[in-house]
Amino acid sequence: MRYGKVISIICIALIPVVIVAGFFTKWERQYYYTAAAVLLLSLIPFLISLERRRLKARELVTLASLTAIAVASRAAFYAVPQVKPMCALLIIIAVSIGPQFGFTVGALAALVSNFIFGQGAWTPFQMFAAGLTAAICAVCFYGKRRNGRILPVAIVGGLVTFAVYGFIVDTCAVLMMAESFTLSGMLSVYASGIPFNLIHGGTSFLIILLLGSVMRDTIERVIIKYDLFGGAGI
Amino acid sequence: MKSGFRGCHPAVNISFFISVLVFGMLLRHPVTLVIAVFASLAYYIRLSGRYAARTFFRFLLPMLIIVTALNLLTNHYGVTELFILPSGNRATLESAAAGLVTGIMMVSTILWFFCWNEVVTEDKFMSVFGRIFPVPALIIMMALRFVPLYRRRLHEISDAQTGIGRSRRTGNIFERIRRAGSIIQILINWSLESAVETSDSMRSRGYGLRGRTGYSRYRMTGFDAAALIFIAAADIMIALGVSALGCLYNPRIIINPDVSSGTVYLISGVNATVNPLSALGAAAAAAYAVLCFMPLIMDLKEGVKWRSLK
Repeated sequence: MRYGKVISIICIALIPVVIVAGFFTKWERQYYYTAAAVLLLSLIPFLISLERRRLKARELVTLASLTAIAVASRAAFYAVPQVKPMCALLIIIAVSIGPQFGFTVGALAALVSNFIFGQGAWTPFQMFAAGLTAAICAVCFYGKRRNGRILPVAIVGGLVTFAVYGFIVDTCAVLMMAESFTLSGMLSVYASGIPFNLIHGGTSFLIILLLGSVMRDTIERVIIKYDLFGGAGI
Repeated sequence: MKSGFRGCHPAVNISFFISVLVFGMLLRHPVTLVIAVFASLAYYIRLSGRYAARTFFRFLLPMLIIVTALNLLTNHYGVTELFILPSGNRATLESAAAGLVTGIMMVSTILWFFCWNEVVTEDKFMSVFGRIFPVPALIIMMALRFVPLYRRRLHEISDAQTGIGRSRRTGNIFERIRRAGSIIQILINWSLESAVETSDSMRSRGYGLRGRTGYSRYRMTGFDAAALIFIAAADIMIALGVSALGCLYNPRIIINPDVSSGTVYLISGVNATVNPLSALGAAAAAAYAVLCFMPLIMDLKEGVKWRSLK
């Protein structure tokens, strides 16, 4: 990527332009388009930064491996009904490897799982939501291993899964469905999502609480052993 | 080798789907809506056979009805009153029509994505995406390969765990989560260590050296280039005609924008206005129709050729 930096700056500069243009044009489904365009424009600099970072081969394969673990983890939970463990796993992974790589793994895991379960208009929203959920938790807890316990991670993780992930993915549904934005129509769509998001957040909380510290140890052991991602921030 | 539209270069497939998805959401003219839903449904049936029809009747048609009903019940704009809701609000023809338009758009969008999942397979997506972003593409490709591998490993681990009396199917929910967790923990250990081994193997074979090229099994043929040019031409034609195909559903139904000449139909009972279709609008709608039916035409052409050669 020779012009990576220039392209990144152009993308970031285009975001406000897109928002203003989306505000003044009277296209059909302008809000969905504006939102999707902003998300895609913000994903491009992230992809370029991944390109320019000169990852070691070990880090690259480990990222792919962690992404696949988060996606495949669902198969381990099939005996427990209503559990989608991907977000919880992503949070634990991100807390161990840091916000930037955490965002990478989150966004890519959403994309990869959509290759399996079907791509759709929701793909950019899920990528962004999963990446952001993981990154927020990593910002709070990455590198604070020695004095931290798992309960705060579980609480914040559950809340972020419920509020941030749920809100962004529901917003996609609102933008797709609403013909004109009446407050009651929007709220009814958001409200219909709340039970699902509550279950999602609650199970994420449980999974992180019960399994978080063990999994974090396992991942950090490998990271320190092979000196990946700057060594778990310790 | 897949024939017809599926045998085309990935760039043709992807630019086709982006075009129909973008214009499918931009155009809300009744004619274009009908074209989109018929073309996407016909192509999906062509791709998935009887299963497609079942999806349509069990999932998409109910969704269409629900979206229409939801819009009718939550939006109360419009001038043509149908009946009064129990809450005292008016249910109007305009909000029903707008809901129907939204519903049809969603149905055809979902159908196009179903077709996308059949046509644009992972390797096709990667051969386009990997040109632009090789590193993320490599990570995604590896992750896609790891997912089935890890599922197999999960089964192996869980069989072993069941053998020592730690079945996942017994115990309360906390125990089940804990057992699933220990399975995942074993998977993480196993997989990360073997990932490091994989990466050492990659490095010793020269990963990261300068001058690395990517292999793609897709070659651009003259036919593919012609198809790309056709898609671009159709896109320009439709983009020019978007405003000529404009329609309003709020506060009253107006099909086609005002023009100076031609016959205007006023349907007074439902307060609807139908302006004449301009030449530009007609050309854009025709281009849209040919674009939407392009994959089906390509596939049928292959079928005809096969039959005549047999």
